[in-house]
Amino acid sequence: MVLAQESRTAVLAESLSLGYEDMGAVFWAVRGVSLELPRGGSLCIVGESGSGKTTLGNAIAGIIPPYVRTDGRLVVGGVEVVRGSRVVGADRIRGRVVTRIPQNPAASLNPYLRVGEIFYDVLRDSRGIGSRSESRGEARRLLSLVGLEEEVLDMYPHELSGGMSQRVAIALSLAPGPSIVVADEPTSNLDAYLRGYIVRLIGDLNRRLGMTLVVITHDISVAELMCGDLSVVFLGEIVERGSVSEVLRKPLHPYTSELIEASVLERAGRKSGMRTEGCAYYARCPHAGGECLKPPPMLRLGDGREVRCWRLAR
Amino acid sequence: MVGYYVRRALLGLTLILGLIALVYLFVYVAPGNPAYVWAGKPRGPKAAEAIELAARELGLDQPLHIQVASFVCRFLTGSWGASVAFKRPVAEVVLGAFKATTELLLLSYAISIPLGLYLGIFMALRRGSAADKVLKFLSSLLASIPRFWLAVVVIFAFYLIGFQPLGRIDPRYLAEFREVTGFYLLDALLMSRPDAFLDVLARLIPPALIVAVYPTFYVAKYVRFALSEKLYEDYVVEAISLGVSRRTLVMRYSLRGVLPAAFQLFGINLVYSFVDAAVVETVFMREGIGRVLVEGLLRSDYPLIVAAFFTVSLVMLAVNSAVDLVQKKLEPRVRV
Amino acid sequence: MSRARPSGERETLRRCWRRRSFRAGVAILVALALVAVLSPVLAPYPDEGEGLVTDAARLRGPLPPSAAHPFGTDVFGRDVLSRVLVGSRYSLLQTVLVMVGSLALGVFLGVLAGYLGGVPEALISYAVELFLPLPPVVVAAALSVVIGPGMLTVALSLVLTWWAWYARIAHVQSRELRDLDFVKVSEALGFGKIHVALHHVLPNVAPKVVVQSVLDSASVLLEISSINFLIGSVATAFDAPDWGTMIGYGFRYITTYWWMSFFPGLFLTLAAFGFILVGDALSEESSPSLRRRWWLWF
Repeated sequence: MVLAQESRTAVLAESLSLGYEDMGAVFWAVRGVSLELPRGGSLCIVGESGSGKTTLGNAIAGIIPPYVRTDGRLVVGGVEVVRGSRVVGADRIRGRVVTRIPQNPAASLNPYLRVGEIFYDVLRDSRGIGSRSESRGEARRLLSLVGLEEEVLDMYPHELSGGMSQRVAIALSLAPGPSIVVADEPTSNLDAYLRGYIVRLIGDLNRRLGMTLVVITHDISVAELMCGDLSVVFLGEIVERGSVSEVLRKPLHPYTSELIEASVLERAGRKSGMRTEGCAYYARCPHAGGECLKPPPMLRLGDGREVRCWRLAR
Repeated sequence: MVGYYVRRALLGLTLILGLIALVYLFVYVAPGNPAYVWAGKPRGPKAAEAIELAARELGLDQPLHIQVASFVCRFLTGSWGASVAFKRPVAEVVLGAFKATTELLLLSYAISIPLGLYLGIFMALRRGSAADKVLKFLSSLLASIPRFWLAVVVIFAFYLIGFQPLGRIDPRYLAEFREVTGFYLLDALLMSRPDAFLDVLARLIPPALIVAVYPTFYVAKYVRFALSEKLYEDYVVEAISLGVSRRTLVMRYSLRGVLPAAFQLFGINLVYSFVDAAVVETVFMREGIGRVLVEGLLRSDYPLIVAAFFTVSLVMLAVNSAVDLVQKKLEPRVRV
Repeated sequence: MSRARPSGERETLRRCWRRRSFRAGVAILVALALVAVLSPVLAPYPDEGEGLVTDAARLRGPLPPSAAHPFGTDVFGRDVLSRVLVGSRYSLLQTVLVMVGSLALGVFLGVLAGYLGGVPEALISYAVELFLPLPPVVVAAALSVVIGPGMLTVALSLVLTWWAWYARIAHVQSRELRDLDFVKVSEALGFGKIHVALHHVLPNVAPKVVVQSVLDSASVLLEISSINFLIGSVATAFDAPDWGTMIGYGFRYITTYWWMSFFPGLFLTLAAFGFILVGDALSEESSPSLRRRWWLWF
């Protein structure tokens, strides 16, 4: 039974638990998580590795292998996926309503097929596009969304650079025409410049294409650039939630503060000499936002004071 | 890519040289007197004469560099002398026997490659089911049965029901049978004698099936194992998340990753299937490398055995290289 | 001692032990090993088992299986059961000899190639390419003429072809280790190349190669027996007591005294089956993804 109100909700979890069974014992990676994300909304799930966030993200994307134990309830795109200990609708949402941008794009592309053939398989099986030329046209359109040329279709995955395979993976996740996209650590393994580009690209899925977006990350600073809502998870439980700007401005849980500090430190540790197109201080700035990828103008504040920062331009 | 082929070809050439060097070692570094071994360990009044002759043939009285040069020349041109056991030129005997064994092996692999792959996929897709368990037990059991013993048991069973598919062809066809290609199935067709063809086939199938047992079940077990493992690769899970159908997932995502290794396994197993073929054909009293080795051992016909060693090893080297090249084609990622 | 995962192998073994098929395989092998060791006591006619044609045997002649001789007696009247029991010694011993010989040679050369690199690596990989495709049966035939037939000749010819397989694995493994930190650190600390190879590279390479050798043991046993069979089928010296030779010799009398070749084959199959059961469990348990409960879920 799915209520009408639930169909307006993109993701609804009610005391959802997910665990792994190994040699008789069950280890619960996600414990009693409840969350609600409206259609067109965007949610960031932040936590350190081992917090169960990837398991949660996979479940939302319908990836629930048989060795995963479940409890509670999960509804995605109006389809009930988890009901108590049973997985009921994962195969109805997977690759239809929801897709996933993988954590490690290089390993996530079939090494034996050219990129064009991977697109062909996905387009044929998810949208019934049978002809090769039609599929190629659609793949070209999807690649242009992520700023890649058609030549990529004729390359093997091992011939792509890290940033290219990440963009191919994003384009692939759009291929089935989902209304919800789950991005799992989209910026790990990328250098600072690409990180900004990919972050903007994923944020645009929500802002410009109107998709519901779930981002899984350990880096709280990228949350602000992509999402409106934030849930902080620790050892499988949500410890704090709210709108991104509120939580970042005034974190209430000590773990959230710790994550913010860690993120600032990580940025400070990055090489500052790397010059990007946007703000020169971007790589080390704790307040770096999406607009910082464009070069900020020099602002005159009066009293002879000048500053080059987008934060004050707002 | 072209560079790879050139390097592979060069390696192949040096390997042939290495093989010749090995043969040289076998012939000239025999303990005791090489000429005595080469002459077939003769005894009796004419022994001294035979040894003398062998020594001249091997060029033992020549300086080392001439010895090596003449040996290599002789070997490469195929003038390998006469066989004591068969009273015919060694080259002719070995080549004919080799064709017979190849005919058997080809039929075996024509059966075992599709069957092994099919069984492997079947088991992997039904992993844990009753059919999988039965097949898995059966493949372990069948892989443990020595092929030569299986052949012996089959011959005995055939004997009990009065059916004796021995030899390569019924003797009554021999009078009109002309060996053109040396492959009897082809020769029978060339003679346009369907009855002879069926006779040859009926005698070929039982040993071919026995030789096929090992590669079939070995590869089936490997495919079952590797396919199941591949279904957990990142790129397969990714395809699952994108809604790719089960059929595509199995055939193009998982199996595609297993094929190169499965193919290589067939290549590696060919060496051991060759041993099986040699032994099984001896049991079925067929002409072939097995018989050549047996006769050679009986008569200490060393030139014959060395020639068999050289021919068989050369072909196995060639097959190995071919497998490498096909593997390279199947595996797009650059690997050297 | 620097080991990547000290408890890895023990954990794998523990998981294997939970499988019924693995325990069955171990039971078969232990039983056969016991038979091999105790065969002089177990065999009803130990002398005949060793191939001696005793006066009692000569009087007896070939007899079909009966209560007194469960497996019958061979052409010379020797008790086949005793022959099979004593034969287990020779067949298993030969297998162990080949495994140990090719492991020692292969791992030594493979580690040398992978760790030293350069000219030794090129030479050894060339030798691997050369020896890997040689069919053992032709090597055995050639060696039998040169140095005479026998158990050791067959074992030697198998070692000569089989070592290359392990050398290849050890080579790949140790080449990967060469660039790892702990090996570099040990070198920087001033330990000699040989010390590092023996104490740091070898312990990490050995487990994987040894596991592979367990998987191969059935093939080795069958390969040895095939060659022995071929040589046995022309043997005039009828006292070589291993299973392969017995089947090869007995095959001549298949239509009259079928028990001569049937029963040794049964034992050979049993031994190979034991090796295969152990190897299957080991290979499945060493793969992390297969340990999970598995079925198609997409």
